[in-house]
Order: sequence, then structure tokens, then C-alpha cells
Amino acid sequence: MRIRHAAAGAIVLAVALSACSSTASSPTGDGSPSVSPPAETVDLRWRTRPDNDAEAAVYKGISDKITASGIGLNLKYEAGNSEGSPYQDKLKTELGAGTAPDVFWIPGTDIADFAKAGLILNASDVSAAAGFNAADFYAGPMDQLLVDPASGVKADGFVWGVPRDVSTFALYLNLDLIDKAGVESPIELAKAGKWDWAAFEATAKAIRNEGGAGVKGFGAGGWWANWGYFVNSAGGSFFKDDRTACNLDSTESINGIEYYKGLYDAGYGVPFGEDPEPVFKAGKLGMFINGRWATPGAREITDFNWDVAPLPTGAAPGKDWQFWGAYVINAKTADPAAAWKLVAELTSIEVQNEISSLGANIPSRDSQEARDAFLTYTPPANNQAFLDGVQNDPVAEGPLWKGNWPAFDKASGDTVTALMNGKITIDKYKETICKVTAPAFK
Amino acid sequence: MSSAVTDAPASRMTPYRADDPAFGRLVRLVQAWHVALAVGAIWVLVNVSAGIWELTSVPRTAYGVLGSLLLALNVLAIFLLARRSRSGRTLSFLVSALVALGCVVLLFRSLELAEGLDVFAGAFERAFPPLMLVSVGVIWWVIARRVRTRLLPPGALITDFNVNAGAVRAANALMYAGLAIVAVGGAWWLWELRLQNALSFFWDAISADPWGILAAAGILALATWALRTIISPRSAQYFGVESAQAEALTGWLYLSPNLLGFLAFFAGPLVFSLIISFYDWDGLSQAVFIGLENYTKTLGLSVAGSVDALPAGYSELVGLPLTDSVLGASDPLFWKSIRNIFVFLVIAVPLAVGSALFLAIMIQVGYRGTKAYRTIFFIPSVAGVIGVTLIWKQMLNSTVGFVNWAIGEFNQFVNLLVPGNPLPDRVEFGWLSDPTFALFAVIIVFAWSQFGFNTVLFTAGLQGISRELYEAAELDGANAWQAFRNVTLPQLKATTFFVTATTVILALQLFDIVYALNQPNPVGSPDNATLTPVVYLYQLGFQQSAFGQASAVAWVLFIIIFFFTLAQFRRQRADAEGS
Repeated sequence: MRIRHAAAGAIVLAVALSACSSTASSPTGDGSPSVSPPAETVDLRWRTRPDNDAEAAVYKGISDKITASGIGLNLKYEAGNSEGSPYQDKLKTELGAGTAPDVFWIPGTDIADFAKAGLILNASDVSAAAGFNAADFYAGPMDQLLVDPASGVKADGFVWGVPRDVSTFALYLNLDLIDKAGVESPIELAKAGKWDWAAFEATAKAIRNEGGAGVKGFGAGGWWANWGYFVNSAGGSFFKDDRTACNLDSTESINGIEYYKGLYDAGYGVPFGEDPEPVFKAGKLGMFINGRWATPGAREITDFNWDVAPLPTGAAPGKDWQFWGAYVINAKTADPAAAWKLVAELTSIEVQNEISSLGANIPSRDSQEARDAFLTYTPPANNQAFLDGVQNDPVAEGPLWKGNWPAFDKASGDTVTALMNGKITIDKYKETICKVTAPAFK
Repeated sequence: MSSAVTDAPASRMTPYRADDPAFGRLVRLVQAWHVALAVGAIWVLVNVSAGIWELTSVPRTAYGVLGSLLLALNVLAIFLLARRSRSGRTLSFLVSALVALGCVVLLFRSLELAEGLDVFAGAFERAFPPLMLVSVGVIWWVIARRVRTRLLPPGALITDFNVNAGAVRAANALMYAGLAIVAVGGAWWLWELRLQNALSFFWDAISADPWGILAAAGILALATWALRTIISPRSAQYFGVESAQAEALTGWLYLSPNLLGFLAFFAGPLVFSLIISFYDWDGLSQAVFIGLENYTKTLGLSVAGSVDALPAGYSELVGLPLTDSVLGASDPLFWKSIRNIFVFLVIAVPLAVGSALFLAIMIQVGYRGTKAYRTIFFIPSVAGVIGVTLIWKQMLNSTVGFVNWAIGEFNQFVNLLVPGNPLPDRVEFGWLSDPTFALFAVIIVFAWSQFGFNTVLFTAGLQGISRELYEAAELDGANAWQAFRNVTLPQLKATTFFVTATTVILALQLFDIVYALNQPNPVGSPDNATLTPVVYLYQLGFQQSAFGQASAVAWVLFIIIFFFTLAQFRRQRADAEGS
């Protein structure tokens, strides 16, 4: 009995001491000696969504470095799930319960919902006091972070966060299949200014015809950004200019989606909705539309040569997506100034370069220094394709300040899928697409 | 007392109550404790009703209900204890246990001990080497002690055993060395667990809310005292509690952790979701009561002569056969999910149950290698659903997946046998991307993941069938099929009922397989072909922040499952009565 009591006591003691060690000590977690923080040190918890374990380890290291730098922050880093949805589910649950971290990352499309619900802090005052300059970051994402929720337009006095990083689409190329098809490389065509939709279609067709059994010309995911690029590139858009209504039924938008459907109908692509990544990695896919986040996975490929090219140009040049997410401050944080200091540290050029070197993202700072550094993070050799996407008149993914993005995404996605699978005609699509998405703007 | 109880002719006699004035005074103190709790409950109710605590609607209701309940239970406990009623003893025990639990939760939170659970694994890893050192010290000490025992006969003194005195002293020294190792390891362990920070940590936590923590600790101490008093043997004698009743209370005490866990993490959220289903709530801001609107929005159906004639907010669900009318729904996706799940049930459940029965019979027949096959069949049941689903996802890929490749190989084999090459050498069924096949892909994965466990259940059922029945059937001239039809199947009715009922319930709750198969596309795709009710309520709740309607869908699903299970029970009971 004494042994049982002693064991129970030891476990309780261990749990209690673990609690103390987690909060009151350096969060190195490896038992290494910690640097004594200054007397006025502020304890902060922060969280981001890493793309993989290696990235999570780097974030942890950055957190420890900031703590050890003696700037008055004692940080505890929490790596979120690498997959999208569970990260959001957990964060929303914690926000509801009042236990969310002081600083956290959220996707760009969620900024409006979080701001309107009063969950994140308008950091206008603390950022101004710290000398924050919004022009240091790419305008696409930054403009969405300076919006007045009441009017839904950019206004002074609002800073909802700072972009952690940006990303964009490029075409991941199987160079061996392109050689086998006997067509000119999309990289060279892009340099010559000849990489347009017609060239893309011809290349996809040649790869499919000459690549061998089961080889596909191109592949893309089934989610909104993939078909959305062709809508934008045709000169169309998801929303009207003021982002208060659907624009997917405009002539240009319809041209884009019709062209995209035509590629699938011709059998050039991996079937719509099928995950193309395993096909690409199996060496059976010539061109694969994906973001910078796919680079770490592509770096594991050893069976064939690969590189990236810009997306093909349509009627409207550029128009690649500018994906982004932002560090925001919990509205309930005890020390907004300290939280802003952490945000500033996490979005410094040094930290952004350290993260970008892992391959999954692009610095969100609009600076030549950051771009020069990014070009050295190879493979792929042609990193310029990503920078072209980010800089060449991109379309920043953005929240709906006067609407409900998840509802719009769901309604538009269902209708596009029905079109792609032949359940509705293009005429029916044109007739219904803005009707079904209308409730998202109420 | 025991003789009084045993001599009682019947259990309905007035219970014997020991005359124990000293314990009577203790009971009055317990009553005072309940008076204090009742006053606390009144204080909560006053704060809530007078609006002193600024609460939103749901927490205000919750505090109001809890305060009223606490007041009523304590007043009742005071009254029943005064009457020396056994019910009063049980009620007092219940109230004190709940109060003690509430205090533990408060202290756990105030002292941030929950965080310790999160990092316990990490701290344990860090502290593993010193723990190993402690283990070495203990083993060392045990061995040295055994050596010393062998050197020293029982009862002998060292001075009496001059020959081995040096050896005994050496063994003693070894024992002390073992204890020293334990001490060093223990100190190291405490160091690694950051003992140096513990005191300042607790001091910080206590400084943040000293009166709150002190109050919680004090109430916990009082509740513990009240509990110990009310459950003591003297209490049992005082209240005339029979041994069976005392044991029952002790049994409930042992059950209470599980019961409280059930109430807190299952029944509580269940009731909460029922309440929320009557509110418009995004999970974050204040909930707005809207009555049955979530249910009418979910279930609303309307028949009209044409699509345009449907009420506002309704969309066409299906054209009614033999008429020009259409059936519209206010939430077509809900009805799509219901349609999907019933198609799923009709195919997946017979597949999961029928294949399991077939395999169980094969195992029962006892072919060579039966044990190995039984193990192999069971593997899907112990494998992680998400993991195996991701493997299935790779296998079902239309371009590079194994399934399409295997079909192609089969076709080529057929083409070798049949002139004219009637089948394509290569197929690209879009198991995951074509709405025609997508649900069938989910069915395959579900049936595969279920049949192993079902096989084990059927195997157990088959082993329970008496051999004599088969022998009797054989004597009556029954062939194998007739024996199966007239002996095996009837004898397996109970097992079949259980297997079918559990498989149906699991099928109706289908989520994880759909979720994993759909990644990275939206869950429920393509074209909502794999949208099930649980997937739909997930979409509503976590993706569209419509927790009120998501809760309504959950309760509609609960009612469907309830009636399915009830129907199966009734059918089984009718069969049992018929036989």
C-alpha cells in the first residue's frame, strides 16, 4: 500500500512539476540551460500551422531564439496541425473557450470572420507606436489587413495582422516527359513570351499522346484556386470590384471556366477532383499546378528531372494567385504591445528567410533582399517562376468583409464540380452560379 | 447490530438505527455544511437574477439552473438528514462529492496543472535518465539486501557472526550505496522536472488569485470531511443502512469517476447540443434563440407544380414521377446526405455482415492455416482508420492506383481467353473523382474495415452452436446447405442482430473514411456524392460556423439511429418470441 501511495504521489508531483517547468522555465524543452529573461519579461503563447515537421522544428528554434534574445518575451510555441481544417477547428474551439494563444496564424480568407467576431485585436495603436510600415509587405495581402469591418474597405486606423508569408501557383514540370513529347520546355516558352493557353494545351496534348500508357498532360487539384486561376486569367473574377457580389457569370469568367472544362473533356488531364500529386510523383504527369508548399515533397523526387514554370498566360496577363496567411493577435491578450513585438519579430526578414529556405513558402516582405535570398533556395532551379507569380499583377486571395467566404466556397465549388462532371451544361452553369452563391453575400 | 439485521424476518422492517449521540452531533455539523452550501447557491442566484454578473443568455441559464438545483438538493439534504433518512445520507454524499469535484477542477485550473498533463510526456522524456538511475539504485539495494540476508542468519547479530562480520559490513555499505544512488537519481529527477521553478510557479499562481484558491481549498477540505463523515461505518449504523445498501453506495463511489466523465464529456455535450439546436450560434458570439427554425430549415419540404412555384428559399430536390410536380427542400444538401447514407446502408451493411459471416464459416470449417487467416482478417479492425484509408486512397487513384491496374490486368487475362479483345486493357475509373463511383469507394473501404471484427463475432457465435444440432440434422438427412439454412442461421440470430445493429449505427455515423478519402478536396466531394449527415453537420459547424443548424442535423440523425435500432430490437424480440 505504501508503495502505491508513493507511486501515486510521485505521479502527482511529476505532473505538478511538469506544469511548472512548462511555464516558468525556458521553453527549450531539451533541458538545455536557459537564458534568464529580463525582470519585466512577458509570457506569451503563439501558434502557427507548419507544413511539415521540419518546419515546426524551425519555428520552435525561432521561438527559443527570440526568448533568449532578451527582448522581454518568454515564448511558448505550439505547432498546429499541418492539415488545414483541424488547425482551424481547434483554434476556433479554443477561441470560444477563451484559451487560444496570444498570437496565432490564420489563413487570409478567415481574417474578416475573425475580425468581425471580435476575436482578433485591431493592432493599429500598438503597431503605430512600434513604427510599423505596411508598405514593407506585398500590397495584396496587406490591403486586406487594413480594412474597416463596418465599411468593408481599406481605411486608416485598422491593422488586423501581418502576413507571415505568401505563396503562388506554378507548374511543376516533369522535364523527362516533356523531352519525350518532343515539345519546347514551358520554361523557355515563358522566357520567350510564348507561354500562353494555346501553348499549354498543345504541350499537355503532346505529353499525353507521346508519354506512354497512363501518362497525363496536366493535373490540378479540385479546390477553388485551381479553376479560379483560369477564371482570373481570362479576365474574369470571383467577385465584383467592391467584393459584395458574385462575378462568376461574367463573359470573361465563363470563358475561363469553359476553357478549363475543355482541357478535361479532351482527356489531357488527371480527372477533375483526383489528387494529381501521386500521379506526378509516379512520373506519369507532365505538368502539375501547385503552390510553393509542394516544393518540399517535390525535392524528394529522384526518379526524373523536374523544375517549375509560370502558369500559362490568358487574355489577362499575370493573375496568378497570391496566397497568404497572417499572424494576428488574440483580442483577449493581456499585453497587446508585447504581442505586437512578437508579431514584428516573427515577420522580420531574418525569420522569413529562415522559414523560406525550407522550401514551402515565399517571404511576404516586398523587398529585393528577400527576393534575392529566395532565389537561392533551390531546387527548383527556376525559382523565378514563383516570384513572377507573386509580382506580376497577382490576385490576392482575400476574405469577404461583406459576405461569408466558406458559404461562397461551398456553393461555387459544388456548381463547378457539377459542370466539370457533366451534370450541368455551361449555359446552366452561367444561369445558376451567381444565384447559388448569392446567399453568401447576405 | 448485525444480529438485529439478520434476525429481521423481512427486509421491509423498520431499519435498526444505532443510538450514537456523538455521531448525531457530527451529522448536525454536516447539516450546517449543507446550510452553507445552500446560502452559496442563493448568493449565485441573486447575482444572476439581479444582473450583478454580466452573463449572456446561455451561461445565465446554466448558472440559474445549477444554482437552483444546488439550493434544492441542499435544502432536501438538510431535511432528510434531520429525519435520519438513508436517502438523506445518499443525497448528502452526492452533493458533497459534486462540490469536492468542482473544487478539484477549480484548483486544477487555477494552478494550471492541466498544462502539466500536456507536457508530462516531454518532462518524462527529459527525466528518463535520472529515473533509470533511481531504478539502478533500487535494484542495487535489493541485491545488497539479499546478500546481507544470506550472510546473516535470522535473529543473529553482526557481533555474533565474527567470521562474516567484514562481509556483512561490506553488504551494509553496498545497501547504503544503493540508497545513495536512489537519492542522487531522485534529486537529479527533481532537478530535471524543474523543482527549482515549482515554488515560484505556485507562488505566482497563488498570488494571482489567493482568495479564490484559498476558498476552493477550504471548501474542498470541508467537502472531503463531510464525505468521510457520511460514508463512515458509524454513519451506516446511525442511519440504519443495511450492508447491501452501504456496499451500493461504495460501489457508486467507485463508479463515480467514470460516471462523472460520462456526464461531463458525453451527456453534457449531448444536452448542450440539444439546447444549441434551438439557437442561431456561430460558436463564438452570443447565441440567439430561434425556436424550431433550425429544424424547419433542415427538414423543410414542399411540393409545387414547377421549380419557379416553390416557396422562397426552397430548391428543387427531385421531380415527382408520373406528375409534372417537383419536390423542393429548404436544405437540399441535408436530403442529399440522407439519400447517400441510405444508399450506403443498403450496400455497405450487407457487404460488411455477409462477408464476415462467410469468412467465419470458412474459419469454422477448419481449413489448413485457419488461425493465420483469422489473424489476417482481424488486422483491419486494429489498424488506424485514417492510415488505412490513406492507403486505400492511393490504391483507388484512377491513374496510378492498384485497383484500376488490377482490373486492367484481369481484363487482359479475359482478352486472352475470349476472342475479339472485348475488354479494355487499361481502365481509369474515377473511384474518388467520379460522382458515380465515389460512394462505392467509400463502401469498399468501410466494409473492408468492418468485416474483420464482425468475423470474430460470428466465429464466437458459431462456436456456441451445439454439435448435437448438426448431428441431429445429419441424421435427418440434411445436406450442408440445409444444415446452414435451418441450424446455423437460426442459432446465429442473436449474433447477427448484434453485428447488424452495430454496423448500421457505425454506418450512420460515417465520417472519418469520407474525410480522409476526400483530402485535399472539400470533404463530401465530388459533387456531394459522399456527403453523409455527419459530414454535413461537420461542414455546417466547423466550416460555416452554423453550430445551431449543425446541432439540429445531429439530433435528426440521432432520431434516425434511435428508430433504426428500436426497429431492429423489436424485430429481434418478435423473432425470439416466435421461436
